[in-house]
Parts: sequence; structure tokens; C-alpha cells
Amino acid sequence: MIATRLRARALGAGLAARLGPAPCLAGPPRSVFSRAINFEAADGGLVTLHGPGPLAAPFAIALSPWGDDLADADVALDLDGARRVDLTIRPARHGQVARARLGAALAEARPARDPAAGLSSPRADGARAALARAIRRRDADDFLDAARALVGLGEGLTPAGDDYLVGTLAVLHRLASGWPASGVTGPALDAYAGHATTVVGATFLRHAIAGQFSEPLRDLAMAQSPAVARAAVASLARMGATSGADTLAGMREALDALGGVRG
Amino acid sequence: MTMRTTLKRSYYQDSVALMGLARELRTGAGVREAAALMGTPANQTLMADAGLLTEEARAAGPNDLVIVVRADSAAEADTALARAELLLTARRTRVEAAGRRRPRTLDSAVRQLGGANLALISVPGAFAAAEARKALRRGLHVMLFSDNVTLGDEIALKRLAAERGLLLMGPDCGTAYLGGVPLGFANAVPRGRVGLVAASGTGLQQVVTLLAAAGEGVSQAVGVGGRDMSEPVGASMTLAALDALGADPATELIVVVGKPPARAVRAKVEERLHALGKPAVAAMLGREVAPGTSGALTTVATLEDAAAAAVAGRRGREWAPRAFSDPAAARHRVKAFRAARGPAGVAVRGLYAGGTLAYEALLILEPLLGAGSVGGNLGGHGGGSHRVLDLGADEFTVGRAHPMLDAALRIEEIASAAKEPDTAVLLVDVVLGHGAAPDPAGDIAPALEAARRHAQAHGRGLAVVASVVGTAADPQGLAAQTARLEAAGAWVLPSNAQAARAAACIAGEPRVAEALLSGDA
Repeated sequence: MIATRLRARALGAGLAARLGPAPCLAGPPRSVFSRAINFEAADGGLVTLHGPGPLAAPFAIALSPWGDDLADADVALDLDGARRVDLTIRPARHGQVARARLGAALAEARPARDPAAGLSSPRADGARAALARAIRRRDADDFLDAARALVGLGEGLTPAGDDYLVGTLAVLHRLASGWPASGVTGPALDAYAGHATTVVGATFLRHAIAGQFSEPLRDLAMAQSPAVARAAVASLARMGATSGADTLAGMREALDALGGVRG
Repeated sequence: MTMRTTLKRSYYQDSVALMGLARELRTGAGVREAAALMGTPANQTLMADAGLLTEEARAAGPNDLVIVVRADSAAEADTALARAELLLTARRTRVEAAGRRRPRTLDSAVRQLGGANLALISVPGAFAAAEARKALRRGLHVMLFSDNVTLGDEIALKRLAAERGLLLMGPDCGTAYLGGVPLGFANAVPRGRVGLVAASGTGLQQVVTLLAAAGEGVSQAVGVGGRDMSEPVGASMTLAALDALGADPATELIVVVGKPPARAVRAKVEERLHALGKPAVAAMLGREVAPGTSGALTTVATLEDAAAAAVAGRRGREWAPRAFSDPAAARHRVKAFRAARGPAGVAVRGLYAGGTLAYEALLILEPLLGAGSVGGNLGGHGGGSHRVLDLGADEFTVGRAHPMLDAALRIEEIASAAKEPDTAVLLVDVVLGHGAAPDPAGDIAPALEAARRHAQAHGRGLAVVASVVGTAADPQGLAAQTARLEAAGAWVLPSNAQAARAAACIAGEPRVAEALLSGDA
């Protein structure tokens, strides 16, 4: 089968390094949605293709144009000229300022939808409370237990609990120097997610543990001005069906647990 | 009690789809509980908590979709799972029908469906113009459902369509009937001999449902997008669609619906209607419209009049506008509501899902209740005590679904309006049809009942005046939806125009009711 050649507009710097200069994605896709397609790359990892716009995952490639030439075939990617985006969330140099800015942006967030119902179940409530307690006490073991209870929990291709944890980890990478994912907790959580949630959910979590996030989430966590933060919140809130709302919920509660300023 | 499970290996749906599926299943006859989740260990514990963890669900993997139903009987559980399968089939991304895969591109869709001549485009606004351009370049007419397309793009796309002899319907074109196929938000109406061109979705729906009630059907109905009759766009697609209807042998009478066209553009449209030589009705709503007849063209002031004039035109009968189809019944209801409303109750609060219906209500209420007395978000002249809100307007729908799909905002507004001591009338519309909420009347009825109870508890009467845009063949059923509103104490009138007049009769000066009910207004 002749592969369809697609021009990439942007991709994460980490993904670019992983794929090499002229990758080919063999069909059929792993999952197909109206605005995104997930392929398995040659290394077995996931690659998401979507249209122009902010990178919706650290393993995503934004194409230009989207859909026009995308036939039911293998895909050859032209990465020449594609923007390489550093999707790493790094620790803030001035924690109080970053905390206040993030708090103000989250207070203004108005996701298009409420978080998924699975995040409001008694079991999720208990796990969220335990996770917040673990963050307040900086107890890595309790964090891991609570996080495990959230992995794979709730509706969606990326279960709501995974999105929630990604939001939590984003805040912790920014404001707590990556604690506890940077220690032994990270690999343990990654290993657990590998068999306890969907492939897409596990891939998001693996990247989040390593400090890699979607572009809107990176922009929000790293925002240097309220306007940038507001735009990032709006972009994040539109992601997925409830993914944006679930992620924002995780960010809010992590910030609260860290004693963050809420506007 | 019986439990049944469906397991779908490596099957993906988004969270909103799965929540909606579970919610739908729970409404099934005899169904006590239902879950639709990926089979992760965490979700298995959720199912266990809910008493839904069957052996099959326990065996599921994280990438499998699990649907479990608990019902009173095996037959009811099986029915629910069959319904789940239907709902999933409607949404799933790969269609297996006829051994075909769901096309992911316009080109592959065209290859699969030889002879296709129309593309319906519903993608986020930022991508919509590019997709529409591709479709036009491939020789396809376009129905552009997407909104947030810039005016510049709209003009360029319509120019391209005109060059190629194609129709570009939209952007923000919500309703059309082409070749007997309803597209977008559309009511179930019969085929017939009336062709329509509309720059208004709910306006078109009101006219075709009233035509259907009178036994007339639709040959073709072309939506053109709300801005088509604006000065910059110059009605380019309205004129193209009129030409198409003029040449269509199945169309014997033409109706144009819009709001509010630029004066010069309106003249251009009227000129074309005259030139076509077919009987025509123009319902281009606006403050400057002068109803009357000129040759084969009848100009009307309301959507109901458009339907009535079209029916009369088809049957070769005389026609004159009327305030109420049953004046005696209206007189009786108005009298009762006026007596109950109390001295403080003087204001109309129009809370609309349909934009054109709201605008029509504003146009009717303004002259009846006093210049400058009607405020709201529709460019009403006034900020007075009366208010008409189009709750589907952009400022209300940022971050939430349109009120035709989700009643939450309207419910809030109903509760809020009921607490205002001067509210005499809640004026509402309910829009049925494909694409609308499954039970729109049922969604707002409890709020309407609560509003009336609240007013009563505070010593005042509150009238609820409503109209339902729909037909007996609509999925929601016109009779059932009307009955639901009436059970909530609403006075349901046959059209939005009549409902607006009824509201004015109840809340306005006594002379308003006297004039309308005696037929002098």
C-alpha cells in the first residue's frame, strides 16, 4: 500500500526525537475520532494526529492541512519545517508568583462541560481527598495509593481519573519540583497505569510523570502573564469531551492542597 | 431482577458519549441501573459498588467497553442492550455497513458515494471555510452547519459557489430540506409544493410546521445563513436559491424567511421574486415591513402569516392576517389571567430558545406594549420593564450547549424571572424535531410549575404562555409536548406570533387586549 504523505505543522520536541526525521505510521489506526486519529508508531508508542492548533498531547502531531489528503492508508510524515515544541513543565523560579498566577487563571476557568460523572462517584471522592491529603503531607506512599485508585477511573478513552492525575502532576511539576513523580513514585505509577487503564490514558500518564504535557496545559502551567494563562485555560477547557474539565479539576485540587492562592 | 452485559473489545467512545449512553439506558422501561465504562480495574470497582460487576464485566480489559444493565426482567434488560447497540452504532467511528469504512476525508467520501452532490460540513469554525472551499472545488453544493466563520470567508465562499453554479448554504445554517431529506435541526414534515429560502433556522421551522399542520408540504427548503441578507453579502445565496426554486417544477409557491434584511437587499430579493413569476410570500421580519400584496408577491409581518398566506396562495383563497385563531377562547383565557395577575404584575419576560422566534416576539410586543418598553439582547429599542431574551445567542452559549439541546440556562432564567414581583407573563417557545432535545417541554415544565407556585405563594398570579414548533410526526410528538406544557399550567398557542400577542393582552394596558381580541389591532 502506498503511504499517504502528510506535512506536520508542529510536534513535541520529545516526540520528534523519538520518531526520527521521516517516520511512517502503519495503518490501521488504533482509534479514530472526528478530530484526531491515534496510530501505533514503529517503537510501539502512541502517536496522535490532529489538525492545526495547539498540540493536544505530548505525543501529538498537528497536521496542515488536516484531513484533506488523509486517506485510509499508511501515513508517511514530513516533519521538515515542523515547529518543535518543548512541552516540558519546569519548576517555577518564583513559586509564590507562579502559584498566584495559576490560581487566578484557574479561578476564572469555565470548562464547556462539567467533569465526567465518574469523578463524582463516592470512590473518586475518597481517592481525590486522599490524594490531596498526601500532597499536603508530602507523603509519597499515600500519594501512590491514592493515584492508583484514580488510574483508569471513569468514562472516556482517557478515563477521567487519568486526566485528573495529569492535571495534578502538571501542578506538582511546576510548583513542587516534580514531587513525587520524580522519585520512585513515578516509575511505580507508570507501571501500574500500563495495565490498569486504556493505552491512551497510560500514555498520557507516562508523559505526565516525565513532565511532558499537552501544549495548552504546558502554556497554562508556565504562563508568564495573566492573558497567556487565560488563553491557555480556554484552550484546555475545550479539549476532549470532558478531558479539559477533568484536568482542570485535578489542577485546582492540587493547587489547593499545596496551599495555593485561589482568586 | 436481571443483569445483562455487553462487552466490546478495543472499542472507544468519549466520556460524554458514554455518560449519555448510560443516562439513556437508565430511562428504559424496567431498567434500574446501567453503566457504560471502559473495563479498567478502577471502573470495575465502580461497577461493583453499584452492584453491576457481572462475570463478563470482571473479565474485561482496560481497552474494552463494558455496558451493564440491571432491569426488572430479562426482556427489559435485553431491550436496553439492543438500544445501547443502536446508540453506539449511530456514533461509532467505523461504519461496517456494506463492508465500508467510514470515510475520513472528503475525497474518500466522494469515492464511496458516487453521484453525491452535497457536502454537509460541521467542523469547528476555524476549519470550516477550508473544508467548504474544498467541497465547492469538487463540485459539491455545501450546507455549512458550522458557525464562527468570518464574514470575509463567507463572502469569498459564496462568490466561489456562484462562479461554479453551486449553493453555499450557511454558515450557521441549521435547517434545510433537500430532495425530501431533512438536514440539521429539522421537523418531520411532508413533501409538497412549497419551496422555501430561509436566513433563519427556527423561522423556517415555524413556517414548515404550520404548513404541515394545514396539510401543505415542502418541495425544497434552502437555508442560506443568517448573514446572507446583510448588506455585505448582498443575498447572493438567497438569489441563487430563488433561481433554483424558480426552475424547480416541483415548487409551485415560494416563501422567503429572514430577519432583518438591509433595505436595499430586501428590494433586490423582492425584485427577483417578482421576476420568477411564481406565487411568493416574503416574511422578512423587521420594523419597516409593510404587509400587503403586489402582483404575485405577498409580504407578511409574521412567520404564521407566511404559512397562512402560502396555504391560501396554494388553494387560491383570499387571506387576511388574524390575531388569534380562536378569539373566543383567547378572550376567556386573557380575562382569567388578567384577573389573577395582581396589580404589580405588568411585565412580559420572553425566554426563548429560537433566535428568530425571539425576534418575532420582540417585533410584536414593541408596538403593543409601548415604544421603548421591551429590553433584552436583541437590539430592542427599550430597557423598560418587559424583556425578551434569545438564550441561544452567543453570549449565553459560550461554554454550554444551545438551549434547544440543554434547558439548564432557561430553567435558571425561569426561576429568576418568577422571583421578580412585576412579572406577569413568562413567554416561552419549545422547538421539536430531529436534532432537538428528546423532551424539551418536559425539561422546562417543572421549572414553569415551580415558577407559578412561587408567584402564587407571594400572592400573585403568573401566566405561562407558550408555543410549540413541531409536528405530530416529530420524534417528540407535538401533542405530547403540548400536553406536558399544559399540565404545567401553560397556555399553549398554535404559533409564536399568537403567543406573543397573548402575552401582550395579559400584561399590557386593557386597550391592547380589547383591540387584539376584537380584531382591530
